[in-house]
Amino acid sequence: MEKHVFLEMSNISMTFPGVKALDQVSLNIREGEVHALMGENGAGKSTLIKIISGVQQPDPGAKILLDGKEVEFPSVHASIQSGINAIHQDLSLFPNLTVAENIYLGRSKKGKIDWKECDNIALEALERLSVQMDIHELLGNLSVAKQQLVAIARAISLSSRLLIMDEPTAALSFSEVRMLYEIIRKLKKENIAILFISHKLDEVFEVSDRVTVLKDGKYVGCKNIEELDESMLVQMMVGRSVSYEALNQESHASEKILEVKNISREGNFKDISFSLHKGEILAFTGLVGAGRSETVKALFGLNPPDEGEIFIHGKKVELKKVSQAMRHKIAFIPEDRHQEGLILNMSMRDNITLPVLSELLDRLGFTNGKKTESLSEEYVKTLNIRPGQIEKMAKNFSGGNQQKIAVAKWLVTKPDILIIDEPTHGVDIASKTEIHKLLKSLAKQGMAIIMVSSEWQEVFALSDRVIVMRHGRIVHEDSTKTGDQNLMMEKAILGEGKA
Amino acid sequence: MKKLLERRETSVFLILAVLCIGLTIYSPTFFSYTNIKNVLVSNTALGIMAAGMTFILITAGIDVSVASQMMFSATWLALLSETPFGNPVTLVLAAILIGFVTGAINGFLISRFDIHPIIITLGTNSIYRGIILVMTNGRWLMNLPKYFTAFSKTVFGIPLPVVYAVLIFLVSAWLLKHTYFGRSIYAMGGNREAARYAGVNLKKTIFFTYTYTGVLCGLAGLVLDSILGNCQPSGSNGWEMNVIAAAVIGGTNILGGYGTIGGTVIGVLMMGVIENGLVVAHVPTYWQKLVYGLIIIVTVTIDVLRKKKADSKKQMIEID
Amino acid sequence: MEKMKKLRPSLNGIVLLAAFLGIVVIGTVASRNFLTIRNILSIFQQMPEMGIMAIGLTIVIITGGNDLSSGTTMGLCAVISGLCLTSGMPIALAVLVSLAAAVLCGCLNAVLVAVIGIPPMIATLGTQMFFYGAALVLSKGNSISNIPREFYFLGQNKIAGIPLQAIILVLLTVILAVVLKKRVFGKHLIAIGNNSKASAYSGVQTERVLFAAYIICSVLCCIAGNIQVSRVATARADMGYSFLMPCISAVVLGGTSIDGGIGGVGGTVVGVIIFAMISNIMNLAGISSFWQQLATGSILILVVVFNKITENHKLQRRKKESN
Repeated sequence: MEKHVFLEMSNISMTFPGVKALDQVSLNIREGEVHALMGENGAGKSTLIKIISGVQQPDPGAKILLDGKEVEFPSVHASIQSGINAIHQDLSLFPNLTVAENIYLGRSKKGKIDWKECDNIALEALERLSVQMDIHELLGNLSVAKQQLVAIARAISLSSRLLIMDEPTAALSFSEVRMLYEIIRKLKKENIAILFISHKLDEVFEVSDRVTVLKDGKYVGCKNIEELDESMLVQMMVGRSVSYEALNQESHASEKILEVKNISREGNFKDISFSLHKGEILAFTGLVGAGRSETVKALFGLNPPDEGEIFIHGKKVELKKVSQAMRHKIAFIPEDRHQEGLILNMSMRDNITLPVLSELLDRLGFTNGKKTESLSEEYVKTLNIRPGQIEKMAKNFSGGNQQKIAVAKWLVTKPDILIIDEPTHGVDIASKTEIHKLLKSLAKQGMAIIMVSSEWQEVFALSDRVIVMRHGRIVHEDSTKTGDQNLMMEKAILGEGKA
Repeated sequence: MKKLLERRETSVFLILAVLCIGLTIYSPTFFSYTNIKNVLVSNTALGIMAAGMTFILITAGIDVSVASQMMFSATWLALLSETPFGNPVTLVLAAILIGFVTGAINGFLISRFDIHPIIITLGTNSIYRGIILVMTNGRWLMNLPKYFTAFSKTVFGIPLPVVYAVLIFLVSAWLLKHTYFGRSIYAMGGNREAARYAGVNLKKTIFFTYTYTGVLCGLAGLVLDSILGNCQPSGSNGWEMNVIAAAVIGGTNILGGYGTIGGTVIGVLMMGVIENGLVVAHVPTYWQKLVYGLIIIVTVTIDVLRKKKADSKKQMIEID
Repeated sequence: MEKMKKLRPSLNGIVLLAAFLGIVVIGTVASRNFLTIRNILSIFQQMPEMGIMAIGLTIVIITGGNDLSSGTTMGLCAVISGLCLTSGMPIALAVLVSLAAAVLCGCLNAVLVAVIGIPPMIATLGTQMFFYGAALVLSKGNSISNIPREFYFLGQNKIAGIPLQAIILVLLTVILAVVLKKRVFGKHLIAIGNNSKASAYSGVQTERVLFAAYIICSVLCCIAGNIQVSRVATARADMGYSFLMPCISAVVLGGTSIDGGIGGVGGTVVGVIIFAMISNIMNLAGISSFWQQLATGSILILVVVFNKITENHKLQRRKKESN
C-alpha cells in the first residue's frame, strides 16, 4: 500500500550571487518512509534541506505543499511547528550548555524554564535511542560520537513528522551506526518520515525506501529502492553522458618533479607517500572528510606535516609557509572560491595580479598600472573570461568565470606544480568543459597537476593516475587507464572493495 | 566537587580570600566593620552594572557606554529631585524608564544594523554624556534632598545599597539560569548559527540584553546619587573599563558563551578589595589601571588560545 | 568608457564634499571671524595632532582591525617624551625614545591581534587601559611641565606662515596615500581587509603586514603626542584620550569602511578638518564644548548606520539582479 504523501516541494530554486545552487528541484516525502537524498558534492543536497528546515529561503516561485495546503517555511521555528527538524552537518549544538539543555532548546518557549520538563524530555529522547548518559554534563566535554547522539535525540524530540539528517553516520563507529539504523526503523514504525543525506551506498540500500538524486543543483530522479542496484544509483549520481569529448591521453613517462615520503599530521592525514611527474595529472579522490584537501594543503605550506619528507626536483624542501611553497613554484587553487580562492570585493585585475604584485613594479618600486593591466588582459584572453572587464569586482562574475579568475591568478606565477581542489564545483557545464580542456593543455605543456575531485567522471576523464583516500590514509593508487574503475569507486565509497 | 574546582570562579575566589587574609594581617583595620561596609557600598553601582555587562559579554557583545548610561540616569534623577515631582516613587520609576530608553537605543542600533557593538556604544557613549553635559552645562548638582539620600540609609547595620545590589544579582542570576531568555543568551554566545537553527530570535535576544543592561545602569545611577548625595555629570569617566574588568576577572569569557553572576560578584569584590588594599598599603591608585589592563589582556589571551585549540581539534578527522 | 566611470565620484565622496561645504557656509554665516586667515591658521595649528593620529588609525581600520588604544598610546608617548626632555636628554634622543616606545606598543597590539588572534577591538580595549595605566605610573599621575623651550619648535613654529605640524600632516598623508595606492604593502593592506584568509592563500604575509600596520599607527600616535607636548608645553597621561572617538568618526566619515577593505587617508583628513571646523565654529559662536561631544557621537552613529543601509541595499539589488 502506498503511503500518503504529506510533503510536496516543487520548483525549488536557490540563487547565490554568481551561482545557482538549486534549479527547479522537486521532492516529495511520504508518511513514515525513509528517503535518501543523494548526489555528488555541490549537487545542492545541503541547500535543499536548509530550505526544508527553514534556515534559508528559496527564490520566489517555489511551491511547498504540506498535507495539500500551500505553506512556507520562513524560519526554523515555522518548520519545527510543522513537525520538521533537521540535524545539520556541523551538529548545531551548544558546547557551553548541558546535554539536557541542548535537547530541550528550540522549543521556543518564553519565561521560566521548567527544569523537570527539560530533564524529562531529554531522558525520554535518550531513552528512545536506548542511550545512557549524564544529562547534566556539559556537551563540550563529550566525544564527537556522543554529541552526534545528542543531536539526534534533540531532533527526534522535536520531529513529529519529518526528521532530516545530513550525513548522520559520518562520525559514528560501526556499532553506533547499527544503533542508528535501529533508531531509524523504530521511528519509521512511529510513522515519522526520515530524510537523510548520505554518500554511503550500502547505507542507502540498507535502510531507505526511496532515493532522490540531485546533480549540479538539478533534479535527476526519484526511485523506489527496489528498482535500483548499486551501479544504477552511481550512474544516476555521476551522470550517464560524457558531456565533453573523452580527452585522449598518451602516457608520457617523464621527469619526477615531486616526491612525498611518509608525511603525517595529527588529525589530518597519516603516512602519505606518492610522487608526481612533469606533464601528469594526478587525482586525489575519496569521500568528504577523507583528508584529501588537508593533504594537498600540506604541499602549499598551509598545513605543514609533523613528520615525513618532501622532495622537489630530488632536493629535500621545507614547506611551512605559503611563501616557501611559492618559491618552489607551487600553486594552489582552493575549493572555496568565496572565502579562500578570491577576494570578492576586489577587481579581477587586483585578484589576478595579487600573487605577483611585487614583480610588476616600475623603477621606483611602485606598482605599475600598465603592467598589471596588460598581464590581466593577457590571461582574460587565454582563459576566455567573460565579461572581460578587468576592473569589474570578482563577486560580479558567474561561478564558472570566478573559477577561471582563480586559475588565472595562479597561472601568472608560472608554476611547475599546480594543485587544484575541486576544479569545477559550482561551475556551469560550458565553463566546466573549458576548465577541463585548460588543465589538459597545461599538463601537455609540462605542468604537473594535482587535482582533488569527488566527481568520478572528472577523475577518469582528466587524470593519468588516481589516489584514493579514506580516513586520512591512502587506500588505493592506480592508473586511470589500466586500472579497474569500479574497484576504485568501491574502495572510496564502501571502504573495502567488493569486486 | 571536582567541577567546582575546575571553574575559574573558584580560583578567583581563592585569590580573593588569600588577598583578604593578607590585608587583614598587614593592617587589621581592613577587617573592620567600617572598612568592609565602605568597600561594599562604594562598589554597589559598579556591581549592578557589571551584572548587566555579564549578560552582554556572554552573547559575545560589549557595551562601553555603561558609565555614560549610569550618569545619564543619575543626572536626570538629580534634576527631577529639584522639581516638585520628585519623590521616592517617581525616582525609581524614572530610573527604570531612563535606563530602558538608553539601553533600548543601544539594543536597537546593534541588533538592527549588525555593526560591531563597540562602535555603536562608543557613539552612544558620547551622545549620552554630551546630552547631560549640555543640559547641566557641566554644573554639579549639589545637596540632593533627604528622601533621595535615604535610599542609601543603613538599616540594622546593613547598608541598603548592598541590599539592592544583592537583589539585582539574585534576579540576574535567576534570569540567566532559569529562563528561556537567559539560556538563549548562553546558546547564542556558544554557537550563534546553531542558536538560529534552534529557533532563537537573535535580534530580539540582543535587543533585550542591552535593554536590560540599560535598566540596571539606570538603577545604578539612582544608587550612586543617593550614596554621594550629589551628582557630577562629568563624573565616573572611564568606569566602563572597570565594569568590563570586573566581569572578565570573574570568569566571564569576553568571546562569549561563558559567564556567571556569581563570578562577576567575586570579580567586583576583587576589584574593590584591590582598590582598598592599594590605599591601605599606600600604593598610588594609578597602578590600578595598569593592573586591570594587564589582567584583561592576559585572561583574554588565555581564552583565545583555548578556543583556538578546541577549534582545531574539532576540525580533525578520524584516522584509523 | 572605463575611464569615465573612474572619474564619477563615489556617493561617499559627494556626501563628504557636501558636508565640508555645508559647514564652511554655516561657519561663514555664523561668525564673521570664521573665514579669516588668522582663524584658518589656528584651525591648522590644532587639528594636525588629531589628523596624524586619524591617518594612522585609517591604516589599521583598512586591514579590518581597529586600534582603540591609539589615544592612550599618544598619551604614553607624550609622557615618555616629556620625562626624557625634562631629564635633560637631547631633544632628538628624547623623541627617539618615545618612538621606540610607540614601536613596542604597536608590536604588543600586533602580537595580540595577528599572532594570538584576539579580535582587534577586544585586544586594543585591553591595551588601551594598559597603556593608560603605564602612562599614569610613569608620570605618577601628574602633568609634566618645564618642557625645554628648544622643543617648542615642533608645535609652535611656522614655515612661510604655515604651522610646522600642518606641513608634517600633509607630508605624512601624501606618503601614506601613495603607499596605499601604489605600493605592494598598500595593496596587501587592502587585500587583508577584504579577506585575510584568501590573502594568506595568495602568498600575502599577513602577520608581517599587520605588524607593520599597527606599528605605523602607534608611531603616528607618538608623533601626534610629541607635537601636542611641544604645542602646549606640558605632557599628561590623558593627552589623546579624548581623541579616539572623533578620530574613529573622522575615519568612517572619510569613507573608510569600519569593516575594512575600503578606504584612504585623504578622506580621513577631510573628516578631521570637518570636525575641527565644527568645534571651531562652536567656539566662535560661544557654544559650549559639550555640544561637540554630542555632535561627534551622533555623526559616528549616523555615518555607520548610513553606510550599513546603503551596503545592504546594494546587496539586495545584486541578489535580485542575479535572479
